[in-house]
Amino acid sequence: MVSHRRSELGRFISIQRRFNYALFGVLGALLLAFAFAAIAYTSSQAERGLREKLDNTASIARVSLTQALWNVDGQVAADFVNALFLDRNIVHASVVYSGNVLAERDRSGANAPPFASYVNDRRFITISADVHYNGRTIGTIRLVFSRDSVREQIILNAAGVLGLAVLIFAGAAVTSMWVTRRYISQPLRELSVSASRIAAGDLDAAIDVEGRDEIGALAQNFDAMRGSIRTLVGELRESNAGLEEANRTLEHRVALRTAEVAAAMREAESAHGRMIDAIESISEGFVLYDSRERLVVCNGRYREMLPPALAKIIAPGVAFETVVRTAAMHGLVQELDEAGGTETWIQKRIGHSHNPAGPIVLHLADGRWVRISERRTDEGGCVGVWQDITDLKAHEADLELARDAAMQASQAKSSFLATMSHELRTPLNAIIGLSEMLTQHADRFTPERRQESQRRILNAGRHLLNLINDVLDLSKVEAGKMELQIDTCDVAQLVNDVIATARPLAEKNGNVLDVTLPPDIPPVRADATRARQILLNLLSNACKFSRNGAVSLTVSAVREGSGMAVAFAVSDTGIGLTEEQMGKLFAEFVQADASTAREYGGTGLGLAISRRLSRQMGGDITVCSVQGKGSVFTALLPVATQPGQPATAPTTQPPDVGPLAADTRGVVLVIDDDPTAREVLAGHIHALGFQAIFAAEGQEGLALARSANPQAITLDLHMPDLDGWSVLTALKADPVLADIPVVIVTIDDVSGRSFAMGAAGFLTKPVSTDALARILLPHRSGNRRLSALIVDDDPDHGRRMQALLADLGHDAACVDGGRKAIGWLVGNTPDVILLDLMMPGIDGFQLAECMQGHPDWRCIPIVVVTAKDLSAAERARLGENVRGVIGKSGMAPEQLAARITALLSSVPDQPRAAPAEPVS
Amino acid sequence: VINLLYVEDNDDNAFMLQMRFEMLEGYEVHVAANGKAGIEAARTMRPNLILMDIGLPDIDGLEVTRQLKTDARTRTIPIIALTAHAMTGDREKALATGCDEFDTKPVDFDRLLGKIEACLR
Repeated sequence: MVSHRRSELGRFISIQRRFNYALFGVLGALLLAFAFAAIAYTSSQAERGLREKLDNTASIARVSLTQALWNVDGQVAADFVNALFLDRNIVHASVVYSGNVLAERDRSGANAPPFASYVNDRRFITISADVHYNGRTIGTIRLVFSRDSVREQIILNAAGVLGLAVLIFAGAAVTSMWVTRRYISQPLRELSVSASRIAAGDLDAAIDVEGRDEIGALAQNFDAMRGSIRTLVGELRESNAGLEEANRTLEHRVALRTAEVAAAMREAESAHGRMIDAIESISEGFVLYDSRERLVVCNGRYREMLPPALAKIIAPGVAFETVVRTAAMHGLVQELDEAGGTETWIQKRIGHSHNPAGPIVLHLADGRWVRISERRTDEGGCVGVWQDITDLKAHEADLELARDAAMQASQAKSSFLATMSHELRTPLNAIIGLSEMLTQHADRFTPERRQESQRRILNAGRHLLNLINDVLDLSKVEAGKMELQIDTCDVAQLVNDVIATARPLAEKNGNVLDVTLPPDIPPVRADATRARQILLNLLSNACKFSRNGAVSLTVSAVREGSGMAVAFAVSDTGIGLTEEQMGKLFAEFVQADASTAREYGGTGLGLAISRRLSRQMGGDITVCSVQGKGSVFTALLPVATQPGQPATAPTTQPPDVGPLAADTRGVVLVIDDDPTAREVLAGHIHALGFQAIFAAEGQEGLALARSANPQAITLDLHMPDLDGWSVLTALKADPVLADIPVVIVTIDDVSGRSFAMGAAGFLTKPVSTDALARILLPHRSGNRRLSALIVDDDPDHGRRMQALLADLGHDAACVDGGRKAIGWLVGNTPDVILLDLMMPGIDGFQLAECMQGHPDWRCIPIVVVTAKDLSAAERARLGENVRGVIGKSGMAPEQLAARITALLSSVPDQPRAAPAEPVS
Repeated sequence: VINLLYVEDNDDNAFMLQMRFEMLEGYEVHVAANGKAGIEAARTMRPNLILMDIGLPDIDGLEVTRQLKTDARTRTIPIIALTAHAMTGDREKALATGCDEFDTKPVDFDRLLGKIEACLR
């Protein structure tokens, strides 16, 4: 450090040396100046002394020699001169008289130089003093003094002065050096050493510099400073140590914190993973939107619950409104119209998510129900939980049905009790009243009156007995306590027994009883007594409700499910039944009409008992009736199958319909205002074996369509009164006409719109026979007998359809579920399937899907029979073979028949590999 | 002589009640077998009192009562509902429709006579 500074600052010169150099310089200079001054002074003093001496000598000489000169006494002069020569300084002395040297002496002897040579010689001082007498110069004394004595004195003086100066210098130097060394240099060096040691970090080295001077004070201060520094350093060290400790603590903390943060991050990641797992694992759909209404996260279940078109757009970041709008625009929700239109619904839906008030329930287009519970989060987002409540809804519906049924049953029971009370009281009134009178007023009765009264009492009593028996029978059957003697029964014997009893009943009301019993009817498995009771019940009902009409019993063998049955159809020409009455006819404890029962007698329980009995025997009773025209009650009893002799289908299979003759394929209505076009089309239509009828205007066409029930309609678009689109719309809006296939025949290519509006075909003019044939031939009708399969879980409805199809000349089998239908289809291929949709087990949709996947079944046309309003998605699910949809209720039988005919007329008579086989 | 109209579809019951009144002096009983005939008879013969069965084949006895009670010609004729409907509420229903009295089958004849006399007073 020091050396470094030295090198930085140039050559190091100690203070002592600097001081000494300065002191020596000044002292030397002063001493030298003093020496020279002293020398110069002594020199001038010597010179002056010498000159005074000379002057004095001269003065003495003038005095002394005045006489000699006056006397011109040479001797005296010479003596004087000699005396002068006692002074060693006199080199020359001469006495001159009037230019003559009277006496002269010179120390150099003979060769003494003239006086004049001394005058200008610096080594000598000369004086020439005139000697006066009486005011007259009588001579001159000339003296020369040597300056050697002066010089010697000067040299001596100088030597003394110089020697003193040197002595003083040396003394001063030594003193100075000692003093500076002792009081400055050494303490400073010591201080420096201490400072160096301090600089080197040794703060414990005390600075031991004595002295009561500035350096001492400095040293003391320095030492104090060292102390302070040491204290400071100590403190610094301490604080440093503290700092280091703090630092270490801090580092430790940082490390801990870092580890904690890492752990927390791992924890957060794992928590996030767990959250995702949790969200994924919940059985409800979960979706979270942030405060900007962007989707943050949703689970798989949520996606599953969305219709596919909506699930496609679901991704983080998608806006809630986009989701809602997409759902509405794609028609994925069913309540749009109820809500007052798409936009209103969207706004309502968004509004609800902003301010959720209880869960909302959505009915999706695919039929599913979801309940959405929404909550706003603290951050302003929205959490939605979606629950598929389709099953719940179905369950609710089932429960409602069950509740309704229970309530109906309860109501029916009350009603039954009221009716029973009424029915018991009525005959009792007569019995009690009459017997009271017979007892109290026997004397007042004429014999005729008495007899009449007794007869009435007896009748009423018998009626009461019948009533009680029926109630007991019914309760037995209801409770499953009715014991049946099931055996093989010969149908002919059964029929003959019953007819014998029924004939008087028929004749009583003037009815003709007609029996049709084919010879090859197989025996049935039944309790003979109960079978007779059932048939007698049906026949006595028929006889009671018809007056002067015809009652007939027609026996036939029919295919029943997977087996065979014998059908006993009892028809009458009585008052018939309304649809509502038919529905209630067999219900427990309910009579079609209590007053009817009174008018026509009977307990009103007979049918309920009969149906239960026949069902217990594996059969059933169905009814078909037209109000005011009469009813057909059909009792079915299963055919008794004997080993080795399987029951067979009726031998009277309908003959296969051969190629259709001209004019039997049906009528085609041509609606066209252009006569030429009509003629051309008529030519083609005749060529294809159809009859053609014409309408030149739209209104006329609609009227003809209603009256002529054509097989197909060709429709021109450009007409004066009502254009073709309007006619098409009107045709499709009329339930009776809607199924008549319409072929658009026009000049412009508007096939897309045509098909969209329900046209069956589209042709541009000019039309060729082949093109028309391709469209019309599938729709030809005739005497073709179709085989149909009715799939319906409601046996009543199935039978009704079966009876209707039979009336229309078609064969129909009926199965009560999708599974049975598949079983049936394995051995049979019907021309058409009448399919109910809502069935337990495999429902109509699933059956249709199953058929689409089967090579032999995918071409079988389907007519859907349902009480449900089908959505577009449901229609699509049913496939392309659906020919039409028949509503399950609200249609009169004739209307239904017309609709079925129209739908079946569109069933193509495609060649099939295997015609319907009899079931073995 | 008190003229009674008995609207009753059950032949045995009509016969019985007719016999009972025959045994008394001062009653003439006319029977109508259904609602329409009952209304017709009430208008033409103007009976002193009507005994009305409720379960009638064509028009319900209560409906017949309602029609008679809204017709100026027959409004004043007292009507006693006489029915085998003896369940809770049947009486109230009958009185609410306009019947002046209600009695159930089987008939307690003395009680019925009491009610008839009370109605005629």
